[in-house]
Amino acid sequence: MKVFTTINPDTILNIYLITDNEQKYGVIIDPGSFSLNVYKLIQQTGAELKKIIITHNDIENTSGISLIKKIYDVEIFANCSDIFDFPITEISHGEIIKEGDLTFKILETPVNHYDSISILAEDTLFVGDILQSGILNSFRKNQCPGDYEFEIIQNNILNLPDHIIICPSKGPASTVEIERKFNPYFKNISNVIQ
Amino acid sequence: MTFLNCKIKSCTNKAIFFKDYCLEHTEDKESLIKEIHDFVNSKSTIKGFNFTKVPFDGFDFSSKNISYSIFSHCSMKKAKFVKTTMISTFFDFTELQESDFSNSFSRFSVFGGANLSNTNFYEAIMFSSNFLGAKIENTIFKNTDLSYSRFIGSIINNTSFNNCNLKKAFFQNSILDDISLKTSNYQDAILLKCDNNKTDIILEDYKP
Repeated sequence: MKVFTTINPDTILNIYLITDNEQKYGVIIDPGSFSLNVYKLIQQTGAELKKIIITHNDIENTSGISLIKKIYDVEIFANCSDIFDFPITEISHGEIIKEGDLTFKILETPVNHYDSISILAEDTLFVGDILQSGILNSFRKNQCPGDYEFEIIQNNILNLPDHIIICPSKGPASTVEIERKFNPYFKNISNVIQ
Repeated sequence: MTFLNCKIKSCTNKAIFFKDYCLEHTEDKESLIKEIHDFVNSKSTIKGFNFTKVPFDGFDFSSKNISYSIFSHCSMKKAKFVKTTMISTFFDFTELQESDFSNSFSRFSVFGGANLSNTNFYEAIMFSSNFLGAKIENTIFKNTDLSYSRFIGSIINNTSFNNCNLKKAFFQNSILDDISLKTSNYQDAILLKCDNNKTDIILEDYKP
């Protein structure tokens, strides 16, 4: 598995293209507006785009789907039933999406949106908007996560091995070990959960 | 970035550099380290390798292209990264003392929990880098692009950020002791709940 990262220049969101080792086929996570640099990245890798996985249904993540559908024959996966009237394959917790040698395990992580999912592919966890390096988003207006959100994070992310790489939609990558030790939101987690 | 698991069943580490075991479970560590050093020395492009806990003290990575590689928990004292290109390279919890990153180009690299002292980032581009919990002292960031980088929970001591691009650089719960921000655009950075002392500019917590 290879992970290619680029940035949507309009929104400064990270766009992830995952390909097999031979770069024959690829899967894109949250394509955003499908800016030209994302298209160029796919062309440079030579991979055939097969699938799109949406971490949550937000215009920032999905606005480029109509353009992608015109260029590539892709299947769309999300934890919701409807994105711009395109046919969606609905996915839920524990399901595995396969594309050739690539496998993507779905983890439902409704932290800042009800349909948020994280995607575990080998040693890399794509968390969408729920977590940034050093920051945890929240449903709440004051952006201060509650017990319910901490429990989701504890069960799905902090229980993973230290070396797992976290790829968020915004900001730099991280690892489970870094977040567990230095994310200020998680310093309180033991008090909240236990 | 496919890293196989170490073949020891109870081990959760990833196997290292073309091998079946992690460094801890490798029998002849010395010859493996030598093999890795020879390999890294001979290549100008290093892509998709796991070098966790391998010592690279005094090593010269200058002008190499490094991407999607793991240098976590390594010792890299006096390592040189002059004009090195680093994309999604992981230096988390690594010892980087007297290292030189001048004129390097980095995107999405991770220095979380690393120990940086007497290190030089002169004219480096460190776009969207992760310095969470890093201990940074006696270090020079001069003409350095640190835009969109995170310094949350970091301890920064006797360090200069002169003429740096700090756009959306995020400092939260950081200890800023004796730092200089001369001619840097610190107004474009995000500073929250920082403990600052002897800073040459009075910093106020604010949310843009």
